[in-house]
Amino acid sequence: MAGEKGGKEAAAGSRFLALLKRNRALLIFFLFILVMPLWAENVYKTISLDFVFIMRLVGVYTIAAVGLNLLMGYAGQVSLGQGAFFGIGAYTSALLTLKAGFPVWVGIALAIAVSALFGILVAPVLRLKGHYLAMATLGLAIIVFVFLREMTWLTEGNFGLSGIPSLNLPFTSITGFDLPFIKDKAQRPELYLQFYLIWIIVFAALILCSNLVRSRVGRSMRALHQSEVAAEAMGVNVSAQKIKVFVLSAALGGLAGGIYANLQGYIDPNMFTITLSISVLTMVVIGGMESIWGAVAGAAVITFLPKMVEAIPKWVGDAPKWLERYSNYEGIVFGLILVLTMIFMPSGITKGLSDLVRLRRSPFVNPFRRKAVE
Amino acid sequence: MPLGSIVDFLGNCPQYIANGLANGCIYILVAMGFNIIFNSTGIINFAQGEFCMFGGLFAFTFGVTLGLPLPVAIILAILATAIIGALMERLMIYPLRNASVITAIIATVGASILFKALGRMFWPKEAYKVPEFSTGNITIPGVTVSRQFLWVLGLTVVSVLLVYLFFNRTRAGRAMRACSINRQAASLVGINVSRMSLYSFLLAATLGGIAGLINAPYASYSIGLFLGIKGFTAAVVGGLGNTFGAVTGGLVLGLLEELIPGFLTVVLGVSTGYKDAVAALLLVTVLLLRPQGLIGKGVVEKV
Amino acid sequence: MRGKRTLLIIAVAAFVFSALLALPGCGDGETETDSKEPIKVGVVLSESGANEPLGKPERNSIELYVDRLNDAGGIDGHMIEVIIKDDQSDANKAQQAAVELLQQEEVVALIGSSGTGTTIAMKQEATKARVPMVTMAAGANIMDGDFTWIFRTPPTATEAGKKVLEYVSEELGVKRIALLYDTNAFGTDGKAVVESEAADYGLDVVVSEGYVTDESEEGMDTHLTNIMTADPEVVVVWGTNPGPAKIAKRMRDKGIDLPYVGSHGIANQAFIELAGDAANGVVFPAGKMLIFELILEPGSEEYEFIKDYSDAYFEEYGEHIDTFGGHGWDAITIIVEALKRAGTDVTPEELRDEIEATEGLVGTAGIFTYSPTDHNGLSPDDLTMVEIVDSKWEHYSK
Repeated sequence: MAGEKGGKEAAAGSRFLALLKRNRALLIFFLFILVMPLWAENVYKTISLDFVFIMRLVGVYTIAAVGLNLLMGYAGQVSLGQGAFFGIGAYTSALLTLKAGFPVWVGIALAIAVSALFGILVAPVLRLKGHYLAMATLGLAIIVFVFLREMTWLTEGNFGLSGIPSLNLPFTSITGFDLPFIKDKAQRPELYLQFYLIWIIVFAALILCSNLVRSRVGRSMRALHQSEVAAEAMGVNVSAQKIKVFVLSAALGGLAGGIYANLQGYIDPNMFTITLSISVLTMVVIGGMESIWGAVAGAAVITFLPKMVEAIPKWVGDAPKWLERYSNYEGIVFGLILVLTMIFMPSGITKGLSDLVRLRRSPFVNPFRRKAVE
Repeated sequence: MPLGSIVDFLGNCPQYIANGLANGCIYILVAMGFNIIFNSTGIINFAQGEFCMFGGLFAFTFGVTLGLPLPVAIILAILATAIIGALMERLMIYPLRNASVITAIIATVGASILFKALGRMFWPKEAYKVPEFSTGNITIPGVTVSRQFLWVLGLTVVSVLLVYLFFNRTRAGRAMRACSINRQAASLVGINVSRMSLYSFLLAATLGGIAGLINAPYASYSIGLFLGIKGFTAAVVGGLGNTFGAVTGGLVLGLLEELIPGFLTVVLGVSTGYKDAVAALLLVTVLLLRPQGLIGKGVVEKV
Repeated sequence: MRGKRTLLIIAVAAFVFSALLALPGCGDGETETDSKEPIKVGVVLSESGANEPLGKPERNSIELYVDRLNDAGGIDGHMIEVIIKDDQSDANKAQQAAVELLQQEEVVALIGSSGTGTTIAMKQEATKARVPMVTMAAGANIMDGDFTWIFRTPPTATEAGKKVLEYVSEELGVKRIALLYDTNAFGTDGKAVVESEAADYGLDVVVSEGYVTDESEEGMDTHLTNIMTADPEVVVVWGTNPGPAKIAKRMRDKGIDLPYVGSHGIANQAFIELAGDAANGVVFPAGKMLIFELILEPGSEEYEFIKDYSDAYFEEYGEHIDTFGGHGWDAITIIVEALKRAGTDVTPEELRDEIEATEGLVGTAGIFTYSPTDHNGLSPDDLTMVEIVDSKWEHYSK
């Protein structure tokens, strides 16, 4: 018995190893994340850039962006509604954990389910294409926002929901742990726990998606992107494939929202406006639409950008005052990023930059895409 | 007393219709802007609402800050908006002329964010008061409208007529229509497609500027998305790309937006915080049930 | 094999990068010998986003107060150092800013934020870190749950709402209220108070309708048409500019001859600019600050306090004071006064106790008295009804 069990474990282990071997970039990134808090604490003390804190959010946005990325990069459909799924996930988890007393992880699991269900419900919009789909999803995002705001009997409207239970280890009451090698005073146990929990989920999502784009489903998705007619002719059930991807992307949006609510502890409808949808869109665009890694890079850039700009005065000493107030020109930076990226690097900044320096083995080049070409 | 409330509602209807007509006129102008650009370039310009924002804000700058006479300020405001439209076309749309739909969508979304941020930077207050063309109001039993309303109505009718004449009577207009039918063929018969694209942005920005002006007396940087989504809804409801569709769509949306909340409050006694979902609901419903629009006849999915 | 080499290079690069970053911070080595250690106060404001009109005067006021205090020698020779961060009206950024201020700067107290959502996000961190925090936001739900560590400077929707209802029932003597509210956080806050408290004043909210502030005048006209069907006797409008101005103008145009009662959200010059003539006759609740010269005795403590603030602000920024700047001024005043009483080597816990013991402290918004059961500090009496007459504010009197 024991042998059989051990064999199974070994098999699972070797499968995992094989997976990592295939995804070297993933492995390197995994190690990077694993040791991050160790050096991040020093960065935090030196230039007050709080990597651990911010990376939790990067993780959340990565999940939402990976979802949108699948839809846009691989299935070629634009959605301006990812913020709506995010909001539905956040509210589902918040209401269940706060009002019905569900455990946090059950709340998050149901957030995925409810968002996916909503995705199925609105899947008929996928009959539309291009501009029409973009506008229809924008309309959906507005409708969801207004209903979250107005259904006060359920959502408390603009008052928001506060006191949402925070992320913890499933089925335990552990709310944090200390790290080795860090002086006692700097320990931030809850933060480390949340950081690692979120990134475990992010890796799960990344592996799921990277396997998906390599699978039959992924190949038919790419076919969809190239030409729907040709895909149809090759025997791909176009509408069924599109719906699958759409629902998966909705589910990932819901997952991100569910985590966000439990991370933040407070949510209100104004967090889930069209601005959020556009932020996630920007992340995907920056990262590159046909790269799973793009989602990570995009989420990191967009989340860190304000922090970096705010930190500039600390590095260079006397910065002009207008530079310190990033919010004054945040919209200009966002807008310019979107416009300039589309004109000069329509396949995304990470891809564009790596093409530019011809770093063919750059870890940012999507390995799956390369395989597909070879 | 449902009967009494229905009578009340019907009594209010003339006023709702007048209000809906006034808002509808603005939606028509925004929708026409969407249509013109869509026809000649195949792009939905997500920054169309921001043209309206510029129209109103420039009118404030010229008319109030610089103290120019109102007619001059208005003309300058429209010109300035048209220049922004032309710049947008030359700097952004022209380099993207061969790009995919997805790329164009994201680029115009980016432009709309950029414009809004610029608006906020130069006009940071919540709202600016632009002088009305004429003050005072007109009252007939059951309906009160401001004198400004006549201007709104008049300018819209004139704009629609001019656009109609432009497309049917002028060489450039006919060339642009040719582009909307088949760009490649148009190019083959010697039409300068890229110039037509420039004209279409000039024209759309002008219409957007007019819409923003008549939507003033209150101009603010936040108005772009608000008007953009409504203008697009109007364009889709009428049938994307169709000038008379824009008129139909604008009026339908304008009227429904006033009548539905009116009905909810007066007859059903429901609070109408949902009013700002009416346009989005109409948009999604029409897209799902009749994507070619109420009077459109084309097909959406071109192969 | 190339893959392995890449891996190695990346690993080395990552290691070097980490090691570089892990070097202890240099710089900051210079020590100021001529002054004592500064006292750090962290400030989080919404200088952009939805609450921008609030955050800017708040920042100006806090900076002005601290500059003046430090020029005068600080507290017992200790300078006050305020570290100001912008949360962009975003709860997440507010939380992040609060964490940074608490953990890195080790501030002794927090001020913030301008809005309700951002304040609640900060409150969680302040409570966890056991550091007192003074908010400038009015949302009723801020005090929900454990409010040990949080204090408030502005009058809440509750106080303003009660003042309005008191005015409607006692001064106007009418019963049927029509309520128009902005669907944003400010408006719904007021709506909740007016609807729940009306019965206590023997009033009846016959109809309430939400609007969006960007709607056109014609859109507002429809809302007015709707509420008129319910045959009200007074129109209460709860929102911030420009919505209430459009409604005021439209009411005049339509010849609706009902009293227009606003909220403290229109207690600013912008309302008069936007509404023009239609602003005349509008009555709204506001702190005494706006019309202090009209209603307070020169020489009284309140008068002199506000006069001092108003003159200094105008001299520095060339603008008139407004309510929101006053909330910032009050917040820093409350903390500094508590520091003066408690001594400068105070722990955050002791400072909290000292703030809670604040009694009869004169501020711009009124007279602050905190207690273990009340961290709002003000009472409805600190508000006064203001009427706009000839485009100017006047103390309302019959």
